Amino acid sequence: MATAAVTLPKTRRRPRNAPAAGRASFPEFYSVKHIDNSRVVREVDVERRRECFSLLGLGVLVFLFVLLFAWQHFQCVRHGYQIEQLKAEYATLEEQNHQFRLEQAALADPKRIDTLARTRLGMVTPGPQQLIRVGGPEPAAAAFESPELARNFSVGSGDIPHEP
Amino acid sequence: MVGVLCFFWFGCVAARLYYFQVIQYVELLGRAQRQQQRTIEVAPQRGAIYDRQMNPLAMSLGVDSVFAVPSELSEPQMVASLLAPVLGVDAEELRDRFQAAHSFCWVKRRVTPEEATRVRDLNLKGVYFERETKRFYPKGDLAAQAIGYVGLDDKGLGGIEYALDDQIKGKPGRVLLASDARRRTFHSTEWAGVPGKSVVLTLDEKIQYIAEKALAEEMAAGHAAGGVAIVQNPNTGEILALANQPTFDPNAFNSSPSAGRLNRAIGWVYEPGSTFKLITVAAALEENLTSPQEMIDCQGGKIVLAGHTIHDAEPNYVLSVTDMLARSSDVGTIKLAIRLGNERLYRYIRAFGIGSKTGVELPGEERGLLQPPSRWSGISVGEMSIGQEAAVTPLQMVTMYSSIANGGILFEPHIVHDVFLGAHHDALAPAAGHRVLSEHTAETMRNLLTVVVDHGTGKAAQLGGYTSAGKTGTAQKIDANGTYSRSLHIGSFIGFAPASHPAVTILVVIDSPVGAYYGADVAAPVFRSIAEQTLGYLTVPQDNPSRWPHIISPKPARTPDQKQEDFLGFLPPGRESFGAVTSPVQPASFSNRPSPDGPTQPGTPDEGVASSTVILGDGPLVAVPDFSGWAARRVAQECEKLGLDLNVVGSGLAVEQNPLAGLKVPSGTRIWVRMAR
Repeated sequence: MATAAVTLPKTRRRPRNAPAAGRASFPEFYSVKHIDNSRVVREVDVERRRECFSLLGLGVLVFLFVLLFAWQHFQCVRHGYQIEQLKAEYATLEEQNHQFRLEQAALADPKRIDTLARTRLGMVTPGPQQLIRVGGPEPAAAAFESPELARNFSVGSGDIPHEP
Repeated sequence: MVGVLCFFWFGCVAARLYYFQVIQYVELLGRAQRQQQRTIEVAPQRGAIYDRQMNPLAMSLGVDSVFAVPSELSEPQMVASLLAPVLGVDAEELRDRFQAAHSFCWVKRRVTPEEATRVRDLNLKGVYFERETKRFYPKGDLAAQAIGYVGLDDKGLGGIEYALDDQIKGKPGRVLLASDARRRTFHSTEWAGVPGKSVVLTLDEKIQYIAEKALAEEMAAGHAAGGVAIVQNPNTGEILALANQPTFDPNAFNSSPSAGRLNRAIGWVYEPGSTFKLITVAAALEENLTSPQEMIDCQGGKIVLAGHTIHDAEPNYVLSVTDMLARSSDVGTIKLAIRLGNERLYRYIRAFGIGSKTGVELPGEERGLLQPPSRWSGISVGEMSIGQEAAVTPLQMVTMYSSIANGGILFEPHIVHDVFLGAHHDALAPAAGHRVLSEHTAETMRNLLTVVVDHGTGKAAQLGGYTSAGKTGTAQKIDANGTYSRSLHIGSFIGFAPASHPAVTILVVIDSPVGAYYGADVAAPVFRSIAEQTLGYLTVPQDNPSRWPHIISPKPARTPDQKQEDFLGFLPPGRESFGAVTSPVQPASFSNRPSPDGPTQPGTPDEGVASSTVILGDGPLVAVPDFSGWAARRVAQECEKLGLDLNVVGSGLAVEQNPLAGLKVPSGTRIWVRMAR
């Protein structure tokens, strides 16, 4: 359906398409025409589309990289805390181990054992006749028998002392 | 318009960003790092000190030290008053310290874990903790003078701690810590330091305890001013125990008197008295100027030398050299010294290590006092020969006796067995020694010293189950006037056991005992106590069961005549030396051990010895067969037949046994036989 409208000049200014002075003026008719182009199929621009997807992909990739970087960073910080915590724990345990060894050494003090043996258990120093060697001479005894053996004598059970 | 504003805003941000990130970058980065990062020095772990059985004698532990940054303290006075009762420090002093310092001041170093917890609970701003190490000595005063102690800055101040400080201490490391706003560390970079090396001493804590206990008991009984006991392995020079009295606890060395920190074994000199006669007699024997059997006129115990009269403790007349030493005759010894002459006597004294440092690894060693012959007076040769006019350290003396015990080799004494870090062991110099006497002279001297214990002044040093040899000594101290004191004496005994095959040399010196002061009375019993327990602990086979207290000996091993003969030093015919005959019962061990030097070993039993009879108990007696060269099966069969209990060690053929072949023992006695291929 078409509609028509008549417009009359209201302003003094001459419209752009108005006839120049001296010429006769004619009313102009504007009509609105509805065009149905629904059946027109828009042609796909493959190139543009590819560009668009590439851009989008790149953006996603960059975003992912940023995410990965951030994740790595935060993981690194998190692990840093964990490592430091474990280090502190290790140091504490090591310290505790030293403390236990110290305590063990203090408990093995010959003076303490001697006192306990005499007071609590009623033990006495054995006389020479009460000493019975079990299993032959100890390496310690053998070591004192001659200079040759003594020079080869080493402490403990092995040849090389190690930290207990 | 909006667009313009946005553009302007972005521009400002970009400009500011540029300013921070480019222009101010270095400065801001530095400021951030100063806030977030801090570098702390990690104190190195001081190496431990062990005894020869790897029992810890000194260890370090990490402890907290409290410090403050006064500029960060909002109210220093309040902080001081809060910390003072918790840490047991003076509040006023703490306040002064806060005012005196600006950026750092110690509040208390090396606090206990409880104190650290309580300070942490206070949560005070500007009060921090630093990790330091503290030295602990778990055995308290055991071997305190030998081990030493460390000061507040972890620096060794005495003993091995001082002598090997450079090796034990290590080098500090550094740690770079990155912290967040809450001061939680999230990253650290370490520059590792070098931990200190551990030291293994030749001391044995059990022997050390035995020596210290015996010495302390004598000190308490005799109210002496001081004392020393040293136990040494004569075959290597290793010091097994080094006991001092008075002593101190290195855990609290500040609160002990300085006298307790003196290592008398090396840092104290004394006139040795009669124990020094050993040099004179040994030198005379070595130079073939005398023999054990030679009779010497002791002139009733009086001799005049350069106008001075020297007396024996009791009148002595004609005595053999053996008897002379057993009775500790000064006159007889002086006569031998005159034969030697000044130069030769001096040479032997020096050869035995007197007048020079022994070279032991301990600090503060004295060399003693010994004048050269050019500065001797007319009486010096006599005085010197009997242990006066010369001052020695106890370690010099015990080393000298060890040289007699081991066959004539003077070993450099040492106390450090090993220095190691992880699997790396420092190369230590091997036991160094030089021969001072021939083996023959040393063996003769061993026997002379055995007689001293068996029949002479050293009877109190007779051991249960073992033979022993040694010499007593009693010397007057020099008083404040520079003359010999009548009331202050030094009693000493130096000896070794078993006499035939010495395993340990022991020195005991008691300084200024009250009451009894003779070495025989105050030092020899300590020697006995230490020697019996030490030999038992070392499982050294007993070589003299006749001295067991419970043994019934209806028939003496040797007749009184024989004993008298031994006492006088006469040798049985056919003997090159009178070796083991001085002891009524011969060693029950070391007997069949093949000698690398030849067939004859000191203490090797001969026929006469093998036939010696010792009766143990009242039951039926069985003669122990000679198992040498027998296979285990044959030994077992024979023992079963005789009703003897058997303990076989090793495999192959029998090479050693205890008791010795020929000894008569009760049925059921355990026989120990060592087999070897």
